[in-house]
Amino acid sequence: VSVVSSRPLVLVVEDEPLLRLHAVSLIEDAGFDTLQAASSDEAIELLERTPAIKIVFTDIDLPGGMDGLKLAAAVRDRWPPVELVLTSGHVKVSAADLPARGHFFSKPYDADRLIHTLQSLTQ
Amino acid sequence: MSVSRLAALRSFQVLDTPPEPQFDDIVQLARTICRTPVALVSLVDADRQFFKARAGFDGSETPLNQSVCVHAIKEREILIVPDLSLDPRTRDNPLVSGPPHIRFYAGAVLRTPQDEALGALCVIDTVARPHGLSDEQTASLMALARQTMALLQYRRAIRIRDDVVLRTHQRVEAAEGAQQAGGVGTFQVDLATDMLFPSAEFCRLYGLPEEHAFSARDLQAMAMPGDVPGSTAESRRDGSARLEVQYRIRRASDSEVRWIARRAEFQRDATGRPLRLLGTVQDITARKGLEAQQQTLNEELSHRMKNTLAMVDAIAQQTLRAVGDRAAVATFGARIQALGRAHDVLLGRAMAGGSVRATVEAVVGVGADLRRFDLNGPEIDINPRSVLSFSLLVHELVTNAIKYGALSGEGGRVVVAWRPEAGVAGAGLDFVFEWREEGGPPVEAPVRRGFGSRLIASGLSGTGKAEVRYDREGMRALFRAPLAFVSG
Repeated sequence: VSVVSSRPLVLVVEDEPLLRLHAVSLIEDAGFDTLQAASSDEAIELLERTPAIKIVFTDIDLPGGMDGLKLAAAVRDRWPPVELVLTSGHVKVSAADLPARGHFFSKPYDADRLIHTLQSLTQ
Repeated sequence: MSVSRLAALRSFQVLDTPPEPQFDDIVQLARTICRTPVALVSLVDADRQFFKARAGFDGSETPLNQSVCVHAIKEREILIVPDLSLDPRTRDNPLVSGPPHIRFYAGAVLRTPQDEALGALCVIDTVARPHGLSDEQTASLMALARQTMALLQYRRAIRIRDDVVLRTHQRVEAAEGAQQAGGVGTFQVDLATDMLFPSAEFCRLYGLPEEHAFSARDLQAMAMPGDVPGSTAESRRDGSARLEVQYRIRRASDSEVRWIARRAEFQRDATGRPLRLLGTVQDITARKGLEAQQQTLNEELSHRMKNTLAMVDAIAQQTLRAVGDRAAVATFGARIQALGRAHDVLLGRAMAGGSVRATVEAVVGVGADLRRFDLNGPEIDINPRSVLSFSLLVHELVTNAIKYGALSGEGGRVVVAWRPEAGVAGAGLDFVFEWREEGGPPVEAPVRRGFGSRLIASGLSGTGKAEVRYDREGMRALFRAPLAFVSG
């Protein structure tokens, strides 16, 4: 993938296709470019190939060994400049679970507030 | 025949029992002292006399027509017959008229402290004794009779004690068995010494050896750090210890962590000062495990529910992309989110409902600044059925306040108050929920009644008891529903 664009690139990680599609369309409508991944492994691969990714927006509840919290911790470790936004249907996500500079939205989230947060992270 | 005399005799449970050395010793002594060939401890039954001990005589009993003792027991202390063949009471006795031709008889009465004559300690000779017994022999025979009586009483007391011990033991065994079956141990703490006296099952639950007593302080130290202990030395002494507690212990036998439920009560003296702490302990680890599983299940369900809500929102937003009225689409999304927040509140209370305050805070927190709210009201729980509709109601009020009311500009505030209040006469208490906006722009009643205002008008749990006023100072709404309907 090679994107030549001035629009900030957001990686959307969500295993549920419908929710991923919705998130992608919200974020693109707000003026971002997006990449999609259905698992942490796919997300890591994309991150390795695509240095242009500015923000990772990931669901916490992902299949396989690495959930969204572990993915976020790995991103914070390997790509420190990348901003992190997490979402989950679980109640019990405390600030202590989140990586440094991590943002959290409980599902179902408010689209406007999500976009507002994404925009503030790319200014 | 005296019924009470026979009842007294039966109470000693001595008839037809085998010889016992103490009684044998007595007849040997009597024979030696009185220089007779025969001595007997004779107990006079309804139709026979039974010999508890005998020396110089064959047979353990005789019929009453061969008994001289049956006459002796009519005497106060002793009957002495120098020549039985001359006495009208005994001359026709077969043992006198025939072999062994007994002639002399002296019998000291065996008399109970309740004054019942059971029989006699007697000496017999086949030669008549015109001078009877010497004073010394008479006194000795009577002393030996008293000793015999004492032995009989002693024997009976031991039997009663053994019975009591056996029955107590059986009762204790039954109680311990029941405790074991129920997995319930009992204990008693003596507050003067702070020593705890456990039942066998208590020791088993705590994994301790079966000891008579433990130091209460030592047992207290078995509680896991961080868990509230059942009591402390202070709270035991001053009687303030909590009566029902649950805590974890590290079981002494295998260091396993177990959940214990402890119930207790104080026994106090007449002045109210606590003397003892009595109670039960139960291992509730299995139940706790089930509760944890239930909680996990609840969380999983809520998670799925919220994912479903997120999907509904996503479908709706995607389906309605072409719709011109973007505000309507956004409103829909916000309502779905309010429902999601209500589920958080429900789950926070493990599906048991939520408090009014927690629900309002959760819903307001989504779209508005909580610092612009005054929340006033007592701790009242809303039942699970009402939490969802209550959340939607609050969501509509918040949305309106942001769009048109006190929260549409800077400086406006919302006062939220709730309370129980006397309802219609005869009925129970009402739950009253009040919403008052202040410092916003002048408001007017909406021209068109949308879903939001219909929701507001339908009130708490759809009861329809809602007064909504659009005052100059701001929107005011008062909702009322039977407390029992909303809470509990």
